[in-house]
Amino acid sequence: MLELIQVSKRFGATTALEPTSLTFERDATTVLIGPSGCGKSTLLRIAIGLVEPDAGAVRLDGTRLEPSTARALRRRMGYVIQEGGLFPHLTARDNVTLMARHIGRSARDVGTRLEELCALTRFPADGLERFPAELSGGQRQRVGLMRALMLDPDVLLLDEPLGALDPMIRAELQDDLRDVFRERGKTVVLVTHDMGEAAFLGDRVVLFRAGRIVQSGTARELLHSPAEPFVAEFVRAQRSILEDYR
Amino acid sequence: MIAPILLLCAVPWSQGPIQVGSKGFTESVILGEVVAQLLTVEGMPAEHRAQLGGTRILWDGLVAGELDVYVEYTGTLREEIFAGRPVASDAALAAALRDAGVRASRPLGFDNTYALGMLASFAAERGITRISDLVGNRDLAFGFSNEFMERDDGWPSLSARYGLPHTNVTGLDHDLAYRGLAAGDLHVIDLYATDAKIRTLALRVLTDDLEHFPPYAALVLWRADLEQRTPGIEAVLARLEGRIDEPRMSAMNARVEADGESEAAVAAAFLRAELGLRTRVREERRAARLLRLTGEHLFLVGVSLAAAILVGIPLGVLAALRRRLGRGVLGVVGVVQTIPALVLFVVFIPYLGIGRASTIAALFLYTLLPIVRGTYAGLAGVPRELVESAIALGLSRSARLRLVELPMAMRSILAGIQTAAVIDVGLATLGAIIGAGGYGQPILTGIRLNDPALLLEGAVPAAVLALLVQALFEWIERRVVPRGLRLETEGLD
Ligand SMILES: Nc1ncnc2c1ncn2[C@@H]1O[C@H](COP(=O)(O)OP(=O)(O)O)[C@@H](O)[C@H]1O
Ligand SMILES: [Mg+2]
Repeated sequence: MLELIQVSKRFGATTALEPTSLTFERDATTVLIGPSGCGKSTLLRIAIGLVEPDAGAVRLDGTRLEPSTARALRRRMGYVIQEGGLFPHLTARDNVTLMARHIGRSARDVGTRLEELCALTRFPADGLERFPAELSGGQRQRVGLMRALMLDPDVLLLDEPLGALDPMIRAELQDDLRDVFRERGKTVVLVTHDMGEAAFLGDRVVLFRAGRIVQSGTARELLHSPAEPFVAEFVRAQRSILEDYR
Repeated sequence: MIAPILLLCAVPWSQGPIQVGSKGFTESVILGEVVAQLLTVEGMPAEHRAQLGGTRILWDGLVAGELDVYVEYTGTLREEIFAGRPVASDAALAAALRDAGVRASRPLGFDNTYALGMLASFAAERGITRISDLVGNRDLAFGFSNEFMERDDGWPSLSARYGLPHTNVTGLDHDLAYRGLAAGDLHVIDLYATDAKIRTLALRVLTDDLEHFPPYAALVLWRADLEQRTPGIEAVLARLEGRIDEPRMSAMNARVEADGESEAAVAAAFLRAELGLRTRVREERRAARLLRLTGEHLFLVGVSLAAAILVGIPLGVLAALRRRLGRGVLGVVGVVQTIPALVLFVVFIPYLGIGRASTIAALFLYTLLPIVRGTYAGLAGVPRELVESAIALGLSRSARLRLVELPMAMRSILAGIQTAAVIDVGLATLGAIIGAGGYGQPILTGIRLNDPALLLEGAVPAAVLALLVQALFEWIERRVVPRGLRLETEGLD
């Protein structure tokens, strides 16, 4: 269980995140959604310790995230960003296995896990020896996902993982992501600005506006009983234009 | 880290053969050869460290013990080395030398003072033999070197002393003055009393009948402690006293400068003719010389570059990790780069002596900047999201550096090293000025003797070496820079 307790963050004059508390349970996928600049990424970065909150605390199964625990906790979390954030000097295989090899996992264990992950993310095995520059955007994203999952983390944090992909690939990956998220025991937090994606992947959707939570619930709840006009407005703006042609 | 290497380079001269020095002009090199050959043939092995930068380097080297012997001029001792001290009398000069731990022979015979010269034929036509005779020939055109126009004992005081009424006086380059004289555009020029051109152009040196110019008698200087280390050396050096008069010195200078003989051969001929000594002159073949110079040059470049890499990369890393400290480091290293190269080469002499150690120290400092900057820029240029990806994986600071940041910075680091290496190869030629050898040696000699072929003998290999170094680093880059990074930039083209 990942807990954020009254965390807040300002960058100079801009408030990125008002004091916010959120609890992310095991076996559940939470989607953070909201207009650009509303503090979604900041919240995720606070969760993995890339940004230090001005106040508040982050706890993973009760252990507080602080400099002395950060490295150990990060190894129990996977973090995926747009384009995968892959190291260009390493092949797909080395990107995925870097950390496992660094902490001394045996070659056999690493190999077995890699096979599992290729199957799970439907990544072609012959792509493992390629460098990021030789992969397509979708493939890069799968490699980023495999890298995050390599150590079988309890928590998976994804910041707009599909943001840079074209719609076909995107739909395909959404299906695959859902399979991945259904793996047992995972706490998943996903940032997106796409309401459809949120409804498809999220057990719970948390809508942000200007650094604060506006409404939290299932996609259905947001759709049918918006807490304030902004929610309805946001959902309406997200609706496909095509629906108007029905 | 670099200190032990430098000390290693500095040590060898403390025991070994007697170190004979000479300045960067032909006469000094010939006399250095004469002394070195004389000592060697008399069973006192000596090594000639030829054409070192200048008076200061030789004198300081002698006092510091890196040199044991060299030939100096009384005028230089009085006007430069002991300037402002009461050393007008010979006894006072000898006392000042003794205080510095230096002994001097009696004069070798010639006086290489400033003098005025004319074409001998024209002087005879006008009946001019002395400077005073110029007074009655007020139509003559004078052409003086710029230095002579400005010196204390130069034109202004000379004309006052002799009451010279001439108004047609030009300041110009020395080489041009000779040409003007030969062409008849100039009638009187300044020169040294032992100038090689006196013979080759058939010049008349006018007698300084009012004794305006201070004497520049040549004498051998040696360290007092040399007499204990090499008993009897005094007597051997004394054999040169009074043996070389002006025509003889001027002729020897001309044999080198005009006839292209080596200083060693001219010195050997002198010793045979004057002292009946048969010395063995080791004339180096061109190929052997090129090989030796290449070895010396590679040593200077190799050691200084290795040290700069070993120090520069960690400094660059430090600068990237601690931004505030980093600005300081980059600032300091950048300031070093603004020090004129020549100064940097001389600055270390008091601590590291003349030769390789000082040269390597200067080259080291000069090549540091590109390496520090390349490392820093490479690390600072790693995209933020990749740094964060590495942090998010849970890698420690050092693992991040080793596994992600340094490999990604590799290309920039290598580019820095490549720049440093190319600079190093070129700059190492300056080492010859302080006796470090290398390709600079033939360049210096070529400049001194106005011999383009000799100059190219140093300049061409230096340029070729720079190109080879460049090619080497391009090859290394292909081997070392991860293929994934090269793909990335190719993708952008
Ligand atoms: N490192 C930073 N420095 C300054 N401002 C930042 C920084 N990171 C985020 N911000 C600001 O904080 C606010 C929230 O940003 P972010 O969390 O990235 O929003 P989102 O991911 O929802 O688009 C924005 O106004 C953004 O400009
Ligand atoms: Mg964002």
